Amino acid sequence: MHSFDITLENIAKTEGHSNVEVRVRDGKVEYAKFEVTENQRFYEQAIRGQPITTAPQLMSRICGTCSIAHLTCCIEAIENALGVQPTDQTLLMRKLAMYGLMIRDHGLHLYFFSLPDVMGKDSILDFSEDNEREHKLLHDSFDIKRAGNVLSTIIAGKAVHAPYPTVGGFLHVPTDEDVQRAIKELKQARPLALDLIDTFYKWNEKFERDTDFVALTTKDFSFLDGDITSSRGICIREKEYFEHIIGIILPHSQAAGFEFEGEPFMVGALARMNLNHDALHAETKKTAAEYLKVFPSNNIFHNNLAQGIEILHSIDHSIELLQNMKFVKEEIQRPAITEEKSGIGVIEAPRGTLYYRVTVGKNAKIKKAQVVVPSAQNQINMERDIAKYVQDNVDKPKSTLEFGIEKLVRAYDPCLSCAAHFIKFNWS
Amino acid sequence: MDEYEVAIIGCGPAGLSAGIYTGRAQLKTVVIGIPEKSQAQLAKHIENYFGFPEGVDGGVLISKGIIHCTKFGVKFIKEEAVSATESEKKFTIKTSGTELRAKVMIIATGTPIRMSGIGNEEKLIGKGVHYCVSCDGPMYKNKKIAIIGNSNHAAEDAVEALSYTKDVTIIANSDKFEFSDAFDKELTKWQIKTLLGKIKEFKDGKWFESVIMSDGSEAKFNGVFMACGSAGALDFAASIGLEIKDNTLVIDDNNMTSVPGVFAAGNCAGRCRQIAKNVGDGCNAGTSVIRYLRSRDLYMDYGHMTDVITKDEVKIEPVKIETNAAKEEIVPSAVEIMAADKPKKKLRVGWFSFSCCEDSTIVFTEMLNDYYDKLSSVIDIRHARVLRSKNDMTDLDIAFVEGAISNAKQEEEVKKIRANSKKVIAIGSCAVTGMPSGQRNNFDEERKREVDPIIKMFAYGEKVKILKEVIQVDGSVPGCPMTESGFIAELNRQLKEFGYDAQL
Repeated sequence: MHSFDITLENIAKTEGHSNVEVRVRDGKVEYAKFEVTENQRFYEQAIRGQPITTAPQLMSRICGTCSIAHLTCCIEAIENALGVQPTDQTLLMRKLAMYGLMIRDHGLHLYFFSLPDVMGKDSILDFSEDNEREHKLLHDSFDIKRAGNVLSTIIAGKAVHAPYPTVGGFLHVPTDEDVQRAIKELKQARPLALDLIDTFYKWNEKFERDTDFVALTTKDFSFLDGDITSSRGICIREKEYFEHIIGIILPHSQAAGFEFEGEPFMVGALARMNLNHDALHAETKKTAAEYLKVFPSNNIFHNNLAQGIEILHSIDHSIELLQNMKFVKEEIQRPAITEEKSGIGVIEAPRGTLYYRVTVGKNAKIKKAQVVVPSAQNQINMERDIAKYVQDNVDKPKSTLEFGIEKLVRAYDPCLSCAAHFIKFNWS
Repeated sequence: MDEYEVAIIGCGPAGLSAGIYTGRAQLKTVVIGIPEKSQAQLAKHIENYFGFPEGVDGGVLISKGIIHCTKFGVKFIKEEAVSATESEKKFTIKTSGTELRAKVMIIATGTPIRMSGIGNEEKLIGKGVHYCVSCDGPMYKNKKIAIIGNSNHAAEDAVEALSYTKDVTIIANSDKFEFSDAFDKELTKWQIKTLLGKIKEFKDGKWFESVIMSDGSEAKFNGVFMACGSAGALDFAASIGLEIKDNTLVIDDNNMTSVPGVFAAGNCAGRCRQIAKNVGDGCNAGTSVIRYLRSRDLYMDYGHMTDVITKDEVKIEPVKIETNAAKEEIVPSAVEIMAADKPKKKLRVGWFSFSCCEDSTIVFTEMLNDYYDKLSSVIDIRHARVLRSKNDMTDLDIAFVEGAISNAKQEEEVKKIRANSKKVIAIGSCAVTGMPSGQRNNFDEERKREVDPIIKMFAYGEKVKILKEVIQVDGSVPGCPMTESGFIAELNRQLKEFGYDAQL
């Protein structure tokens, strides 16, 4: 029985910075720590006093890669505080903006971060143009991400820190020409997405641990609304979510950890697929039928497969929506504010459930805000997974364990830029 | 305007020796000077230089020195340097035909100062006879002054003097002027008066009083500025206020002058006037510059880390040049070498992020969708944690750094990046302006109290800093996130500076 320590600094191919520390003594894992090393930027403090018109744009800056999710969730929370009921067109446009985000963000993770693990390469930049398969995957990555960017851009103005979504509607609607361009890009990307799904389906990487999966189960798998459900059978309304999770300070990490109903849990694509794949678009279910048999799954590496299927769903549903919508310019809804009110926004960001709670003062400025991000919610679950992985493979060479941990972390697709904050806030 | 890390003024043994060291360390180096004017070039037979028992022709030695520099990517400008000014920690150097900027200068202009031979010159130095318009020009606001000299240097000084007075006359102290066409036009444009003829002496009272010409005529001025011949070490050096003692530049043990970032080597820095000593001087100046730019205490040899440009790659066609040696040698001329000087390698690039949301990193990864082929033809991404596990930070040409700096550990890391990179470009709003990541700098007391436990627990810095508060920054792409067009413009600027024709 041997003793050793594992220290991984600045884990590569993730959003933001993190370390892993594992301590093994006499063949037993004493602890596994996942340390978010991003310094906090204190958005929950900074948003206070911001007008409701600019606050969502500020919160978008929490994260570069999933900025549209923060923007959308913050807007939803403010609208719920104000009692704004978005128009049908606004809701559909938000779905499309989120689909554009999912295609681009999942595409970045799957091709740039995880695919090198599948292909035995250090980086997608090392894929050879002379190798037919590698060449195809490299250029597929560009085409898929571009399709997501085009969709985000025609709907939201930009893929990163989008300017058009606002409290009460959209500042701009796409032209017919925009719509046709997006449909063309999405159709071209569809077969590439299928190839991507097949690639991760055939990847034999496996790590299983029984855990609870939690997600917002939307009726059309559009990431925006529905009820929170868990694989252990809990079903609650969006606004009750915060009462069922508890933040736990992890002294080694700059992000709080979370438990759901007192237990570690996982949010994200794998949770959504496990809990809600029946709600996928009909075309997606038909085309990906064989791959969907995998779910429900406890294999964390199936998070990649789930993301691939979400790309396909986002393409299929977007094409349908775009082909059937006639965009018209609408008035922005901004009701008069007569009293201080609070509102909650809950959506499914690429990495899982995103929660915003805001209080808007009579002066139309944010008085209080709290944000719970997916990668923070997954943190304790990741630590449990890392500990079990090392324990299960404790006799393997340290280098094997180190690479195995890295792959495991990447399969979660953590976003540490988002995760880093844990100021406690007492609501009154 | 072209930008360099090192500008060496003078292409004699000291300047070329310094260039070999800085070029080999992959510092972007330019040598400015006219080889034919090097004193060593004029030496017919050098018998006391190490390694040449049979003696060596000065012209051959200089040409080989230029070949040696070229092998390490050093550029040459065959012109006279006429002035230098310092701003924003960089030096703007004007030559007779161009203008460039550099982080540091090595002055190796050879034998300093030739006194003009005009009577009373030495006696009146500082008493109406001056050598630096930038330094002493303000003393003559709206007064009548003369610039003494017949070359571009005199013209340059005259134009500069217009900042202080409109009454400027250039006196040739010669039978003819030798201005370039460009300077000739400048003088006409500004209606600067010129006077041909030799000067006999400066009339001496307690202060300079007038110029007495050789024909006996007298011209009264409040003061004169000496700009005789080509820009020699002292008058060039004086233009940036270097300390001069006993007709040589004052230097320290690292060959640094009294102005930080300006080094001197060779005869202009004093001591014995021998090629061997001047080559050693160039070595000391070159290695000091490397330490200075890379913020290192010790010099380390960079040659083994890099693939040098071989002579074959440079593709110099050997040409026969006239030498003074009994036995002629076939070596390329300086002009041929300068023409053949082209870079060959992809730029070694690193991408780093600190306190930020990595939005510009996302923009960069999305730019690959459309620019992958072009980018991969000119840059080699050696370090990018977001894209690679196996990263290499050594000897980067450009480090792109996103994010603000919010604690001592990050400061340490970014200084390490600076020490390993020729250029550092600040990317995105947080790196350039500090916002929004630095929003805690402006928190009220209530918010400060809330975040204080975190600041202390994780040893954050007292304030969030922008990149240039921590390290020297060579360029920036602002924006939240950076714009694609802004990044392309900056990258194109860098490609041009590194000598690439390719543009995105």
